[in-house]
Amino acid sequence: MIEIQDISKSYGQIQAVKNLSLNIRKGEFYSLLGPNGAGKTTTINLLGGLFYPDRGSIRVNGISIQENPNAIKNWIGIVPQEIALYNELTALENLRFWARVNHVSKQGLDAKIHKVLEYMGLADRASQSISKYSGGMKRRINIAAALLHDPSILFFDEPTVGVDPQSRSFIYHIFKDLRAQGKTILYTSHYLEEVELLSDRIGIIDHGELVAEGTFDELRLQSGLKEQIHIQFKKISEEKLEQIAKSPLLSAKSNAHGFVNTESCNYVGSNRTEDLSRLVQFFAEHQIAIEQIEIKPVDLEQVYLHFTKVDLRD
Amino acid sequence: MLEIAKKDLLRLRKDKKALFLSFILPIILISLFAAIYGGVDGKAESKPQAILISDLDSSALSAEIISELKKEKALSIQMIDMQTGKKEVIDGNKSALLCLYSGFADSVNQGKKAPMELFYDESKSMEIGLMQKALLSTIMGFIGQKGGKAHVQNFINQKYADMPEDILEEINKDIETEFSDGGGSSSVSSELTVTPLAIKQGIRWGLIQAVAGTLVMMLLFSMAGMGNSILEEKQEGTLKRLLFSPISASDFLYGKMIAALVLAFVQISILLLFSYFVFGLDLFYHPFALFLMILTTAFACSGFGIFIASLGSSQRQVESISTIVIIIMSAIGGSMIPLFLMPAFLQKVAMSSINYWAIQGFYDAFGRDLSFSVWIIKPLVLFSFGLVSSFLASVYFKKRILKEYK
Repeated sequence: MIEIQDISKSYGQIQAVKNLSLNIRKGEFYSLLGPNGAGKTTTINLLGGLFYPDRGSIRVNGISIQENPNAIKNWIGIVPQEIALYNELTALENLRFWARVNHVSKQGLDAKIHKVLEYMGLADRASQSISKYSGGMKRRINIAAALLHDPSILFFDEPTVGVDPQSRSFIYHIFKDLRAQGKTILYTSHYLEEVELLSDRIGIIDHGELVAEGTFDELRLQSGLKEQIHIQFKKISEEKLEQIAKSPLLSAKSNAHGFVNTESCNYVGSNRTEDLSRLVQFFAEHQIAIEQIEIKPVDLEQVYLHFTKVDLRD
Repeated sequence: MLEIAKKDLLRLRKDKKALFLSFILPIILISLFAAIYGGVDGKAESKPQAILISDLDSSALSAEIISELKKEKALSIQMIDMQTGKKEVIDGNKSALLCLYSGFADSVNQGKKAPMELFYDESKSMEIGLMQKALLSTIMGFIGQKGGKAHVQNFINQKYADMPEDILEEINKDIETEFSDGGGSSSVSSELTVTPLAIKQGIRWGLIQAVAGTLVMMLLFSMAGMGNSILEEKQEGTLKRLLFSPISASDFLYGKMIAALVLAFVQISILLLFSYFVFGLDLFYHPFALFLMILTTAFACSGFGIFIASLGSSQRQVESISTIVIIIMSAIGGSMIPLFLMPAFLQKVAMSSINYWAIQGFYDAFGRDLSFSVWIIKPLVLFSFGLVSSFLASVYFKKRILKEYK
């Protein structure tokens, strides 16, 4: 469906995307993860034909975006990170406008809009101006505006930023439903729990390059991380915390994706038995009373941090 | 493209503040400027200029000249002693003080330079310029008559001193008759008859200046605001979403231009209709020229608005740039101050502004009777302004605004 072949894009001295190749299949929910400035938005902008790569090719349904951008744009719906709506206009007027610029015929348009508004749970607010909507409602209309022309490909660029848990849960079910409808979805988000639950495959991009790709299980295997051991212990002093945090076992290098505080410790490792015995021995040596031990499989956040490292980004 | 234009006009219709700035504020300003330029009641009468006079000569002649000045409608005379008068001018309470010094009558009667002086408040130079016109036409006419007679008599008496007395007396009598008020068939009047020259009498140029000047200035502000909506769309993310849809960057820009053009056309039409119904501005003097002027002014101003927007990288930056450029253009182009009050070089610089061509074009359409080849120049220049600025806007839009998505 979407074939990205060895694309590169530079802005002056900055190489935003470097030799990137992706292959997103029809009906697939593909999440593209990466720190800020990793090249996610540039990739989406290239896919949307906002500008062209310096090198490489992008083909959608076999058609090159460089050769026929408008044909491809007809198949695409984008939900940007911003609430890309006109605040003075009502939901109905906004949706009419976005439908018309996406070449939706005027015939039966209002019925279509009504259907989408019902789908978003906003049918009774159709005539209210967007400025009077809550953040969650705006997000839903933001998504609705991308659906009216019934695109087969959807780009969601952090669509749930700043949304309350109720709205996020609602939107999450919409994503699931769109996926069930067979839409091809390219998704970016910093809510990794959502990504883990929704994605068929995940691509991790850093410094413009694809550093890992696959299903979550495949990524976990690639990372070598297996489980996280969560140990609850009797509260310790700050001095003691400082002391144990510096130990080779719990220090940032060996436990980069875990944490330790005055009441608990999260250890991410690759060998459950060995890791567990070392931890129990460590706490006994430091006279820290363990209250509870929980072993869970590693989550996407730990896998993501493994590939992108923990250093702060811009 | 049309969807973009329709959406922008719909947004404008819902934005009460923008509507006020686009329509109500210009109406208020036109009314204000029309009142200033004397175009409201069509009589263009102004308040008489107040002037203080100190008569240090206290002669019959000085009393006579003061009495003549009091008859002048454009002047309001107040007698005062010199010191108090000077203080009044220095304090800014009065604009000018005319002093007729001792020996005034003798000098006039002897045909010599009359000792008098006009003191004025330097901060009111413009007002003094207007006052001088009324003062000079009365004083110089009076002195010319009296002084001329004395000068001729002196000349005859000195040159022909040897002439018998009875002949000299006869000549002096003839001179007296010739220079007496209204006497003599060949008496020369010092008054200059001033007649406005226009094909149609009673054209209210003050009103035209107020309407055209304000209209163009406010239109430029509205169009700059419209242009600014490009950056607003960029900032809000709607531009990016639009560029993902199957419309091109050019479609987006042309859509904006169409919306701006429609708004400009409606704005000019409403302001002119207001001037027609409220002030009686004659819109049907040269309807075709007026229609062409509305169209080309709207095109030039909308092109300007979009061009200015394409230069900036943020809304605030564009607001600042456009405000400065519009104020400068309006100041030199004749929207704020009539061109004739400006120095010659500024009158030439004015030709680089949209305001100049639009105001001159509206002058043609409302009151001048020029041949087609002459009046068409103004709409053509405005059309060229619109064409060039639209082209530059499209180049800069792609170069600057789209580049920022990279």
